[in-house]
Amino acid sequence: MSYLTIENLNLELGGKMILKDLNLSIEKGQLISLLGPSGCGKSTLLRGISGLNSIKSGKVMIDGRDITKLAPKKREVGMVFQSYALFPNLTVADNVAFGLAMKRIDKDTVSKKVAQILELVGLEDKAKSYPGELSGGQQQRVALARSIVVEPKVLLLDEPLSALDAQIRKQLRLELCRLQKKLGITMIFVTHDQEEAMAISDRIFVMHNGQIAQEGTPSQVYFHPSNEFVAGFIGNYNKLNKEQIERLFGPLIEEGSTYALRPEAIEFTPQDDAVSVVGQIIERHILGNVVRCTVQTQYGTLWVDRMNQGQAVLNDLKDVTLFIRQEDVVTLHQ
Amino acid sequence: MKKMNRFIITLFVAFMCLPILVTLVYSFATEWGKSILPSGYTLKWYAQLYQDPQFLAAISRSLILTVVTLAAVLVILVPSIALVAIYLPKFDHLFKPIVLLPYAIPGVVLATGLMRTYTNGLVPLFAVLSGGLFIYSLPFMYQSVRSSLQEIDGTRLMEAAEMLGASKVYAFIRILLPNIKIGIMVGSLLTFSAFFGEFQLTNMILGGDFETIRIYMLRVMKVNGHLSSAVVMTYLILLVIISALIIKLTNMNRKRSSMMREEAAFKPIVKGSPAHELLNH
Repeated sequence: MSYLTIENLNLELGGKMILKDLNLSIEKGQLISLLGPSGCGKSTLLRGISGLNSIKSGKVMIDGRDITKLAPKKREVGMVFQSYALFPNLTVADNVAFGLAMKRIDKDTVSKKVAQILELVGLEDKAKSYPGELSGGQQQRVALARSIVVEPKVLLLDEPLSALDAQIRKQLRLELCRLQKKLGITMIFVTHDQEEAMAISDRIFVMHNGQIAQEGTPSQVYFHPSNEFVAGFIGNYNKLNKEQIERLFGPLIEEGSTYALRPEAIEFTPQDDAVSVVGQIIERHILGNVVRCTVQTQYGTLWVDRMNQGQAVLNDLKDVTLFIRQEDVVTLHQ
Repeated sequence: MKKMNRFIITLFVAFMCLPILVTLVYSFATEWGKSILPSGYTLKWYAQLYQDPQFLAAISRSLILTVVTLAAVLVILVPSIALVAIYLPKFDHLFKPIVLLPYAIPGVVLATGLMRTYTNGLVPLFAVLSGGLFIYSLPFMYQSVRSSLQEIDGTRLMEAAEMLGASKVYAFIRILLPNIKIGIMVGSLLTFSAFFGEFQLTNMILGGDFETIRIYMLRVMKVNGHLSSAVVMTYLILLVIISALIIKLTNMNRKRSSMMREEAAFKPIVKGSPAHELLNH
């Protein structure tokens, strides 16, 4: 049986239905991501699980216990907010100790646990500092420590890294991932950044219009997007219609109306079982380690990604032949 | 241009300070009517004032009225503002125009309304006056507490405290109040000055039965200009002292900078350290 189960969850905010008949289940000790664009309901789902927003109908179960109607403090759920929500009037140590004090744990145990967790997040020397004296990354570590130290059954993280600059964000997400594995905490991480979700998650739940559009491991979601929305959100897929696909491969393909093709699956060199398509490179964009070429073909415009190894050939190339394998084509559902 | 600016500012400051300066000199003057400067200086007006039991009683009444009403404002109004801002935000758009109403209602209308409703003897007039002043404090308190709450993102702080197991009351007292202290102080300061110098409501509701410093000042003004100048100066100094006290208390709040930007990396966990113990628990 799953550790966290959500059944037919409906949640309304200001007269508008935000989450519609949502179902979701998570295993213990997993780090899962709720991925989706702004307004898709991912943060609302987190607030529904935490009890900060009351749900209209449905059920939330953690470890076999129905927590649907419990107050937030009785749910044994921790939360890290996007804005950190550290208490400005308390020191780092007091912030971390706050949840333990609420559990009426004796002072010695509290001090010991606070020292342990602060060392774990690398802030043992900041125990006496106030939140206002810390950088954004350090504040986020304190927020994380404060939520972890009370040993919640599930830790919810609401876009915890989005206020940080790119470099620190990348560093922190890996550290967060390591920490989750070390402590074996069940975490639900909300993000709109597909790269972030891919990098840290055991499973990804892609959300769209208050529902789960697809769930799976990062590989499953990336290589086999099940519908147009996921293909559009998770990667820069080439979208092809049925007519284009039939002209390329004949009428053998799985029934569907829209098909997706990863830009990196298209090759410039001959491949086994691949069909060839003649085209012209009309644009090149260097995206760091990848060069994205826009190729005009008789089947429409296609994006082709190649590793950026400074190839002069690629830079000078104009007329190209593309090689596309049928097995790389993914059928999308509406 | 700079010189011109300085001149205008100096002129403005002189214009603002001159009446206070003249009042100060007048309160020390033996006589000042037929000459440019006073004919002599004396402390007798102050001596006479401070020996007048009616003056001391008026000051005490003003202080009691102000402190009692301010205490009621702090105990009732501050939690109400926080409650609406955090838990009933959709009513905030109703709350806002209501609290601004005292700006629009003339004191005479409020006083008449209060007297019509409450002069049946059931409610003590002091309580009616205090209630009237309470209404007058709404705009000051609301604006300063509301903006403090917005600044610290009070809703998120309360949610974080509740998620960590705190009750709403505990979270309000332990987390919210200390962080909106500045807003409360500023609101209190404005309210204090307004209450302490209030005349219209007090005069209409209680009048001569409850002579506050402002009513005393008006009475003395008709009798002796020098004496009334001494009252004005005493009143002003008292307000400055109380304001300075409140500002001092506000500044005692630890100043924290957010200048530090270096990132402490996660350090390797050393065997035998507290974190090592936690991981191997």
